[in-house]
Amino acid sequence: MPYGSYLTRRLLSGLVTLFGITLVVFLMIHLVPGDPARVLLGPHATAQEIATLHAEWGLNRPIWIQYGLYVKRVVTGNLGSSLFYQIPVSQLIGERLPLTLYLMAFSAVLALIIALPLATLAALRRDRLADHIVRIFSQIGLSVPAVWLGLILITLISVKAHALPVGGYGTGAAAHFRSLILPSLTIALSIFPTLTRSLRASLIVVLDSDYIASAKARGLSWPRVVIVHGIRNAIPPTVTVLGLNIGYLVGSTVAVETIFALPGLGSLMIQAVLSRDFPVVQGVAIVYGVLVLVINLATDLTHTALEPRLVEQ
Amino acid sequence: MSQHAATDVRLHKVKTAGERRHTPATLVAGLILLTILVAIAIFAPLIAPYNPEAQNATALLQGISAHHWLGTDELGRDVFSRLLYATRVDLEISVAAVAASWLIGTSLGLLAGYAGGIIDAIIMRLVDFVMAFPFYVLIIALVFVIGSGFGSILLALIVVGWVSYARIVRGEVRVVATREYIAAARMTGIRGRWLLLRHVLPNVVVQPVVYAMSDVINVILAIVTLGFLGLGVQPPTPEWGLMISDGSDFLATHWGLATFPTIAVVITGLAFSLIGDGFAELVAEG
Repeated sequence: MPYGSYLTRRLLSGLVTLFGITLVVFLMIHLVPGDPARVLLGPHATAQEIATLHAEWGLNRPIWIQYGLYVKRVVTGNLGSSLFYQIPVSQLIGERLPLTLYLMAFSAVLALIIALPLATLAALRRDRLADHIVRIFSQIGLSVPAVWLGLILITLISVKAHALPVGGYGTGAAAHFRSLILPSLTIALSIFPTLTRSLRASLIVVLDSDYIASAKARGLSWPRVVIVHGIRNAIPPTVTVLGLNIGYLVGSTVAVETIFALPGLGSLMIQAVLSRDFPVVQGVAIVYGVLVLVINLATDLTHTALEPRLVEQ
Repeated sequence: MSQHAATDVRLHKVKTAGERRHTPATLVAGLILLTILVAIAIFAPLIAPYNPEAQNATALLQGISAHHWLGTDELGRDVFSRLLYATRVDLEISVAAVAASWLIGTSLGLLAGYAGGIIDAIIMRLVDFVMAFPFYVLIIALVFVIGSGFGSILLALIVVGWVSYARIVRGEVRVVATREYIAAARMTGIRGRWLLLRHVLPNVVVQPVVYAMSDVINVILAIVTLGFLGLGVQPPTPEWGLMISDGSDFLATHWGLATFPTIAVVITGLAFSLIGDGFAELVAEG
């Protein structure tokens, strides 16, 4: 398949997903019992305000027209107004999105930093003590609730050792960075097991292959073989696994931001749920969906640009 | 979510009953562990020394003692008793959610893969739409819409959970459909529903079962996280996430309050992991 038509197909499927995201979020309002206008405007809305919204959103018209109007508003960046903050949802999200993006990026990098040495060790010492120890760590990491992990890190490192802030985002880049260390570590510790597992598996395949044997036969030193040939070849599949887990990575920011009192998208969502701020919940859900879509698209396109062979599959 | 966690083994052919199998140690260990957990869940009322919701103002935040094996919490409730009852609550929701997701997802995946065409397109687009959202975000949004509590989180977990099974099973059906024995069965005149039930289903059922074992762990973590955030099971019902939340204020002085439920989650996770690994091994050998 030529790259151009692959690109078109991939972008089209992204568009279909976008349609799905808006449809799911649109339908949410109809799952809530009662008048959608009442739900959206909150208990203090006047009859006048409710009538205006009915006209604006076409709430008395057929559902597909309502959906069309909804998509039109979303595309033009109009996500409604927060019942709690009394400001546009898009503004609220704009203020909080960067933090969540940094948090995700730091977590992904930290997870790779943890997984890479562990997986290499496990692959080289296959079925020996080191491999089993790595497996036990991964197993524990896989099932420890991130919320507990976050709380323990706060207690040990912030409260007892005073090494890092207990919570909040601080002011200035340095303070922001310090504030993100423990939250990123919490997320990294809960996603490293899956990465370690897949990286170990790919490393074993690579290390058993003919070109590794020939590299050894050429007299290259073993560490050089492992690093230059082994790890380099095992990383692409691991990035794919990271991509598959992006939904999980994005999702774990919700709880972690709440524990560390970080003013990001996730904590905004929880706050909005607890204060029954429907427009904000809807808006954040859309942005999270689009975030996953964009990251997946970017991963795929980079991947296929680097390895054109993949397009044919 | 972590679909790759399901070990990549495939069963293309069902073994006849007479052939001998070696049962992996991991499977045995996992089943024993799970049996103990299920026994705790069922017999919680008989084992628990106290009512899990009974408060005792004269015994607040006590340490480990002969009276209170794991101490008491900030309301004087017996932590050991709460832990036993929480096992019941968390296992009930997670197993029910995964079983229902498995059933719905497997059926729809089978239908999509076998029927193809427009049915396949509709089901798989639905799968794509659900998968477009991060797991936690959609669950939280659904809980917001349908309310918190036992039934709501169960429903939310199923609405989000079935899609992975549908995708796995549909993929498996596609692979199996090209195998010789299916062609052979067709040639002998076996058609339609019988072909599906007798020849396709047994061969696509392994992957979703292996996946279910890692799925249970993720579902338990979701229940715990929702409970912790105040969106899941509501107090005073004993639930692991709620217990972690209750204990979070006392971590520096009474670390056990939040840590004992965490250990319970890890042990439960271990049981399901062992079963999943063992089952995959069994199938790979079989």
